[in-house]
Amino acid sequence: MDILLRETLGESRGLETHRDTELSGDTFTLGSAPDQQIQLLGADVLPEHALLRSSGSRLAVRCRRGARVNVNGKSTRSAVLDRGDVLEVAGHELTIIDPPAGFDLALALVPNPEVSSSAYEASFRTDLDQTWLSRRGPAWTLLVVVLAVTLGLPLGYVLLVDGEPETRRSGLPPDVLWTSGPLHPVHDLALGNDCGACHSQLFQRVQDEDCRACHDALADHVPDPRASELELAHQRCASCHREHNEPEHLVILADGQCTDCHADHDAFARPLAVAAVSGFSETAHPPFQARLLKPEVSEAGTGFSFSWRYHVESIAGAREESNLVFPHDIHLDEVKVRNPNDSSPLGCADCHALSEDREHFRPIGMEAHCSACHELTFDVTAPDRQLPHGQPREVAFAIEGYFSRKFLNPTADQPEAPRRRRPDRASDSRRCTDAPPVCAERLTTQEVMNQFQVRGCVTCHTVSDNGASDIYSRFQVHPVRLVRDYFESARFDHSSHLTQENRTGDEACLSCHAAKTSGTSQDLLMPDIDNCTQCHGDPSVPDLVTLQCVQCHEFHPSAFGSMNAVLDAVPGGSAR
Amino acid sequence: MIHQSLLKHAGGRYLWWSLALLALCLALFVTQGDRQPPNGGTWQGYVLGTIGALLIVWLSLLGVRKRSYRSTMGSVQGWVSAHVYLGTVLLVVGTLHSAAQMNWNVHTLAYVLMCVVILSGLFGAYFYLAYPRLLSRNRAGATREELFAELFELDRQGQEMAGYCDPEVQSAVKSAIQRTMVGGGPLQQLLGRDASKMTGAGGATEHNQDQQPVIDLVGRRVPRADKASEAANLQALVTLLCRRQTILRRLREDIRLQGWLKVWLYVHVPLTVALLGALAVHILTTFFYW
Repeated sequence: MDILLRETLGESRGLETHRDTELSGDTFTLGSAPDQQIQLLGADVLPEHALLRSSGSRLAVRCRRGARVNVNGKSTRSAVLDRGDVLEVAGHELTIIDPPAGFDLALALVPNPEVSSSAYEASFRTDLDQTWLSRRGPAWTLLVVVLAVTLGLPLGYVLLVDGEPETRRSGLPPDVLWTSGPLHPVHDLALGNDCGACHSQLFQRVQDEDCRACHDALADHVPDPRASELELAHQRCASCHREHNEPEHLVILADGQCTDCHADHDAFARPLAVAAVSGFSETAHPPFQARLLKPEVSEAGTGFSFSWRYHVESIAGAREESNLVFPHDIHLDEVKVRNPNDSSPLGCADCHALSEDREHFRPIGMEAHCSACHELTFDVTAPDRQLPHGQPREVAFAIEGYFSRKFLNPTADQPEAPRRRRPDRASDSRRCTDAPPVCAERLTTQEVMNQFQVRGCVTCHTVSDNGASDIYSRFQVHPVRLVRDYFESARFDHSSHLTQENRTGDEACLSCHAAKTSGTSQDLLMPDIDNCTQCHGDPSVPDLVTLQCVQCHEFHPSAFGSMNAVLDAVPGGSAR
Repeated sequence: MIHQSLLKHAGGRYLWWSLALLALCLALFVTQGDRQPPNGGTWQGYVLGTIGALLIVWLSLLGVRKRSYRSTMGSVQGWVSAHVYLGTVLLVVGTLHSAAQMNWNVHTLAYVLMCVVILSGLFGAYFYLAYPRLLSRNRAGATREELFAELFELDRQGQEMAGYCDPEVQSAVKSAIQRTMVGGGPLQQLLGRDASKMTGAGGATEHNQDQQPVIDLVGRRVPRADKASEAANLQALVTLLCRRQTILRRLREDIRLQGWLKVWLYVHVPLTVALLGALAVHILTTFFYW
């Protein structure tokens, strides 16, 4: 099928000029692109605008997607045109006219005069907006996806589903998307992805009750009645314990957490009658106070009754009252005292054995620590006979028994070998020529007096004498109490301090505890803060080993009383 | 010229503003660590986060300000200058707020989106600074419309002149004109690639890269022309095709440069919207699970 396209170019010298183009085929393309058979320019003409199909003298027009045409002034997407009908595309007019001879169909084209050839750009895709690239679509899509995945889904889960803790822990509930960082491994193991275990209410900070659901056995910082009066009542577990940090960091160790209250003299320290602390230095921290045991002595019967109380006092000038007689200086003097086993000088560790907690020492006892040197013998002729320790009445009975047997049955208990006598002594001082019972009683009395007043018990013990004629109730050995923990509200790791600059072992011990110059057991051998501040200081002190409050002081006392030992004088308690 | 004053607007006023903000934020950051390691949950972290969130909202408002032609709230040029400087500072502010704590959560999503938005913006700023000069040099004083009008006339004339040539030349030139590609898809626009085709000798479809094949085809015919008039016509056709080649090169380069001036926005704008969403969820969920 042949079609004539007659394009009106304009008027020249009064004559209308045309350009005729022949088209062959059944279908013809119409658009602004250069490959279109009927090329019409203009911003409103799509590169491929419509498809024309001829059938006989009629012409069917079908627009491409998004395109429209006017047929006889009516907007449409498809139409069938007959002779005389006018097809208008963006101002360009195509009229079906009578075909000249040799043509099946003829179209007269009058181009839109307002469209110039510069509109040719519209025939091409020259802007990224004309491609599949888009800003609005992806923007809305992304917004919806972000809101749905990170807000809608988790919120719906929390409000509507919120499964059992076990399911949540093992699974991957969508609200884990809200976590702000990893949990401490222990919490992670115990709670996993169960956010609700701690965050029980939306828009509410983690409550102490949520922590106590697991940590129910943990002691509080101070007993409740006083906590309510203090700033501490407004603190939460999470004030110090912060989760979801990197690196994981469950406890805030900063001194400020403590000194916020403890440095405040007027609001905190004075009402509680404690010293204000703002750090660790001789000026910022009060001098150390030791917790000492003091006996309260009262007369009871023919002797005394002892009740022991803890008494907290400054180290400077403090005296121990253990009732023990023990000079450290002599025992550490290698000329005077040697280890009975290997003749080596005595060292600290020969008596003081560190406990497993690396802070305290195992209890000192006569049998374990003294008896190797201090035997309880009382008769040189019977070196294997020893007095019982810790039972003063039994001591008298034992002496009496020994001498009674010795004089009433002279053949018994003969010395194993003749003992050598000193030439200036005429005879054994314990020789008695009186009747055996008299001798036994005399020597018993003599030895008991000797033990309690001259040598023996009195070497290490304080002994009081009520002057009674009955030697069994005349003397009272005062009980001995040694303090096991002088600083109960502080922690100290002895083992890490056993190696110091240029010092190890006993030298390290003696650098803090002045035992070598202590001639009496009344000396308190505990060092004061100035000893610590030689090496340690709070973070504000440069060049020293940093010491933070919580390195020495526990916030959560292991039991009530320990943290408050300084605050409370423990009423009535016995030595622990 | 926007590209000259983008950074030097008002004597680089916003550069100094941004440096002051940067110094403030760094100071906030380094004062952390007393009680807990730097993170978004310290008071400094909250302040940094608030500064960052306000910056994000304000930077996003450039899209609104650009469209408010009647607004008297500062010139668009000033806004763009501040947008570039403060947007760059936001990268630091956001990083300090996050303290580089990254995880699979909405908070890191907001951070990553922010980074991508800012990086795409930096690309954009580079194109804004570098390309306008290249654009005007390429157009050589003409506008794109003028170039297209000239191309249209050359196409018309070329098709007409081809009508006087032998069928092979006619088919080659007409097909070359009809199947000339300018622009096209995103890659073709951005790479300035010419995917034009033509019907070559023997009726086969051939590549017509940069229009050189059709020029060569017509050029080879000139010495073989039988008549002087035919040779003259072919010669004129070659001249026309060469002129057309020049116009097409300029147009493609123009489209390529304009494309790069714009393409980053297809990342910048949608991700900004996504960022605003993630930011809102980030703030909200911080207080959901306080």
